[in-house]
Amino acid sequence: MVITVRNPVGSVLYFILSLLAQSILYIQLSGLFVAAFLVLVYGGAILVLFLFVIMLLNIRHADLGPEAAPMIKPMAWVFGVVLLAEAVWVAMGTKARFDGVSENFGSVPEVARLLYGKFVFPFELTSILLLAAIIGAVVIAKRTLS
Amino acid sequence: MDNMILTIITFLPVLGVLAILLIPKEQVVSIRHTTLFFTLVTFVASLCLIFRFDPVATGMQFEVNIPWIEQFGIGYHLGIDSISLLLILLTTFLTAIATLSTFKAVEHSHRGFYISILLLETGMLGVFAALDLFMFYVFWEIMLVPMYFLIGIWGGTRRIYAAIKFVLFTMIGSLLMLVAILVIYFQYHGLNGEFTTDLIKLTGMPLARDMQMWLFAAFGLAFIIKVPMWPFHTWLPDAHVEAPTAGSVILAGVLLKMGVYGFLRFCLPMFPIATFEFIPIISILAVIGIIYGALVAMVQKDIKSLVAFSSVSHMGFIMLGMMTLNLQGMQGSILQMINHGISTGALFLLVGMIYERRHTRMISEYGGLASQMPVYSTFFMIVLLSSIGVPGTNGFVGEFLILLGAWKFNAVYAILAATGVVFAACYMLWMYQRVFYGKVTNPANQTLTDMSLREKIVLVPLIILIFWIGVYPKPLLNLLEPSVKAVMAQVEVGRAEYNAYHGIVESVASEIELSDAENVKPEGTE
Amino acid sequence: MINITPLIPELFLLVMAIVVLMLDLFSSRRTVVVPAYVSMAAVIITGFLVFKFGGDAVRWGSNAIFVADSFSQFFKVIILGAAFLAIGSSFGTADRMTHHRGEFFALLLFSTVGMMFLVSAKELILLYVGLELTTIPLFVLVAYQKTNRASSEAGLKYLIIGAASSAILLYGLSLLYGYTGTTYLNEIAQKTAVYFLSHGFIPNAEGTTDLVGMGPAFSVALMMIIAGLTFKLAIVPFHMWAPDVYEGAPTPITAFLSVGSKAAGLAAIIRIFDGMLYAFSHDTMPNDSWGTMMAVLAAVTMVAGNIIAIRQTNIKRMLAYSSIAQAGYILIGVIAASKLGVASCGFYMFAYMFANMGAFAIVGLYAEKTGKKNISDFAGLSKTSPIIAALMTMFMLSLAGIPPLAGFMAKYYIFAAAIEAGYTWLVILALLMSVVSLYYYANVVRIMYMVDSDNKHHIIPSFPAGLVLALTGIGVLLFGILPQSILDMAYKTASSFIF
Repeated sequence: MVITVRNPVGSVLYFILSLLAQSILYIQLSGLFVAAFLVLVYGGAILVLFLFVIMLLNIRHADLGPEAAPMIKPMAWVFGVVLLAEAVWVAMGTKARFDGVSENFGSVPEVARLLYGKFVFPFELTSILLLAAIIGAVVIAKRTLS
Repeated sequence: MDNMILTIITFLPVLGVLAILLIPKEQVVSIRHTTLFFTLVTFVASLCLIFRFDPVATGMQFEVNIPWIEQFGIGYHLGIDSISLLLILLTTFLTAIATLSTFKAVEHSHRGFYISILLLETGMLGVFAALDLFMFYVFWEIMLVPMYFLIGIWGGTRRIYAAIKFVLFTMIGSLLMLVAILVIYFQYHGLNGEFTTDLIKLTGMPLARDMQMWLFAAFGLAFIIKVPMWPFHTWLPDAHVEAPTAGSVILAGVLLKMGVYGFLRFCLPMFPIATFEFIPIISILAVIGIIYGALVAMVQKDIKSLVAFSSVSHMGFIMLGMMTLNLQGMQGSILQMINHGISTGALFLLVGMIYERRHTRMISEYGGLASQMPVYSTFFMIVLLSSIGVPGTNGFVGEFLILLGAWKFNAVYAILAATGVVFAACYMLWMYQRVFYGKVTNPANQTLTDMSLREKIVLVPLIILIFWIGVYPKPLLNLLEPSVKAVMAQVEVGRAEYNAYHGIVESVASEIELSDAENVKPEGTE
Repeated sequence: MINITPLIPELFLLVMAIVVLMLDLFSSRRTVVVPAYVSMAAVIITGFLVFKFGGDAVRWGSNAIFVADSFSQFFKVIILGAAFLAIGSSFGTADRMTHHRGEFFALLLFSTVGMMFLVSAKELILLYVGLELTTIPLFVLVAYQKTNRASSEAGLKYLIIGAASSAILLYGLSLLYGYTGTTYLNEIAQKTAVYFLSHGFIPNAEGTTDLVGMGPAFSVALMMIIAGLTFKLAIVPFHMWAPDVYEGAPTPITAFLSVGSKAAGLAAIIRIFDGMLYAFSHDTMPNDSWGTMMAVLAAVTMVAGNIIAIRQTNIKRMLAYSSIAQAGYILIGVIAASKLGVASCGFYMFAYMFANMGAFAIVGLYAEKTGKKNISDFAGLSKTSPIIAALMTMFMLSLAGIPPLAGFMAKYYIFAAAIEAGYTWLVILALLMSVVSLYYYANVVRIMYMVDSDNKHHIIPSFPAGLVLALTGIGVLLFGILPQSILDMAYKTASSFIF
């Protein structure tokens, strides 16, 4: 629904819905901390920012331009169904049993241990990545001073 | 000294290139003279080879073998036997002559032209001296670039088409050769546990018959295109007609010989069983080439393309001679390579001289030149007779030996090939008649001047060689004998297995081939 | 305490990237020279550091996360070389920018750091983050000429397709994790290898299995990883973005994209397929279906890249398709999956770096001076700037694989590896295609030398651009004639893999 709705605001709201569903999955895996974090940071902070930006831009329906090429929609359906079938096939064909997660999956100390222990390098590198992305965003977005 | 000399000869022209690069491009005269100087020095250096060459020894001489790319077992391995010795001499000689002939012909970009000539010379010398498959391939490909420029920049009106055609044909041929080199390389590793591309080590490697067939075909395609044999000859007339005179001389004189040389040096010794298998196919192609080339030459309107098609015919002779696998045939074939280099080179030079004066090569534009340019006509006649193979000239010796060998090998082929000689007389003399005899009908021809001193200097050495080889070829034949016998001995290895294979598989066709092969007994006792 | 000395080169370059940013803030904005030279110096010093701190690995427990083995060192040299040459040839481009010059070089360095991580990563998450750090600055760099529509379009296209391919890759990686329960490449390697060698289950202490029945999901995971990574390499059919992006991006960035990010992506593919999943190409595998699939990809890439390149009139598009085709040749080395294969990939990339960076440098230089980008505009270059034309000829011939240039040695090496691995048909096809490629490479030469024009542009490169051309020219010639030292180095890289 996120990408089918033509109204951006609706799109964001649907996105929040999908995040909530995702966090429920985490709760099922007894990862309360991760679930809460997902709702708070993603649903609460980032998407609200999205909403603000979209409202600030104030895009009207007419500005969005005409509907994409006529063949796109049916083709998207076809590919979607094919992908779904493939996913089902994969899921059925796989005999794997999930071993189950560890006792303290998703608990605060466990997450911290992973982030600052096992995955400290990717984590730190992500900060660099964000820095580079910020610089890039500034470069692209800033108006040229003449 | 002895192990340095081949390196020096091969890379002297590169030194010349560096020297030319130092000269400002406006000083055309000094560029010309520097080039001539370096080609002459190279020629003199290669003459030194003769005096130090041991004519009775078998095997390679002046060898130098330094590891180059050790990981692949590639060595910087040079060495020559008498076959390559003669071809190296031909190369240095013709390059010097061709350089001298270009003093008036080049009209622009002089520096680039002479750099191309010199680089080409290095490539050609490298091909004849290399005893390492990888090195051979490198030199083989290096030549493409200067030749591409020579045809493409200083050529005639359709030069770009001709240049690209030349390069693409050669590349397609050589790509399979590269695959074959790699296959041999791993085959040898499988047999001996050593990585090498050294020809001497690879020769005599016991390869299975089917493998030999594939490898022979892969190498052979490259060489057949280069020779060129019918039906892969179509690039040749285009390249010849469009190339500048010096390019044509080198192309006809040396480049075409590389295909034959490749067969002699690589295909025959390395794949003896496959050689016997391929003899029928190649010799039939050779005979077709002889007759086809001669017939097409007859109807040409352009003198240069007439000479080009006559080359196709002559190269057919050379290939036929080699495929006889007997002493006369092979000696004649190698001798004919030299002869063809001299006489066809001279023909192209002569055509170039008249082209410089009139800027046309159409036979119909001329007529009655004999009265205007008596010296020129005389020279032309001598070269023409040599090309036809009249007794007393070099062409006769080579063709006679080839026909003699072919007669022992297969009388039908010999008779068919002999018709090629008759045709050659027809088209050459007919062309001569139309160009030189009769009255001067075209007013543009009335102001033609005869040959200049420089042009005479260019041709006289060639004429001397024509008569010398024609009258007294014995030193050359003696020189060639040990090397030819060595190649024959290497091929003979494959006969037993060939016979065994075809003895098992009973079929009418194989019996005929077998009886052919039995006729090819070596004539080493003579 | 984790030993982080192997990371020193990367950390140094990161610091320098930030220094370049700061420099721009504090120094005069009139000139581009200061940040550019500082970046170049930083790249060179990083190169030395790569060798100084090589050989070790950053580990967590017994598993390596980040290795500075000879393989990564070799590829880092290529990447740093590409970065150096790209910076050297971007003086002119950066000079004409009115703004954000310092950021240009900083972003380039960030991307280089990302590539270095990508090359060294032995852990899926680090690999992924490295990939993102590589591409995100590149999105920006491609779109750097904001006023230029083509550049903006290229940036957007690259962003969308790059993000999509990253997502696919990430999905594949997560599936792989789901299967094996680990993100360490060596653990995945062990598990898959044991599985494939025994074709059975491996019971663990609790009697359950670690790696249960490699069902279709495993194939899907691998396909997604292949798709994600071959996007970066622009392998057909994931190549659609390349021509537009290459054409629209500033020329030095195009060059960097075509060499640097290709080298990094290649290294990741080799790590995953020849390093982690070597069981697939192992002799014990009865059905080498992955090899065959990749071989088909390589074949299609070579054919499509070369044939479409013939029809191009814009030189950057022509080079884009040619680099697609070159990626196809390189993939042959990956498929060979042997010591020789890995080594040949490395050497090919090395030789390719010189020729391609040089060619793009000339294209950039020419476009700067004349504003023209079509192949036909090069007519008469041999008369006005003979040295540039001669260099261009060398680069073209090296790309086409004519001896004695480096490109020929590289092709020879790749083909040797493929023939050893039994892919003779692929080699014959590749050689046929290299004849095709000779046609369009020679076409550039033909236009420079054999077509007359009234073109009067005499091109005099600036010092850094001249340096770039000199280095690439020497590289192409030297490593063609005397490749021994680099070949040995490349061969050593293969010792990082089990075959």
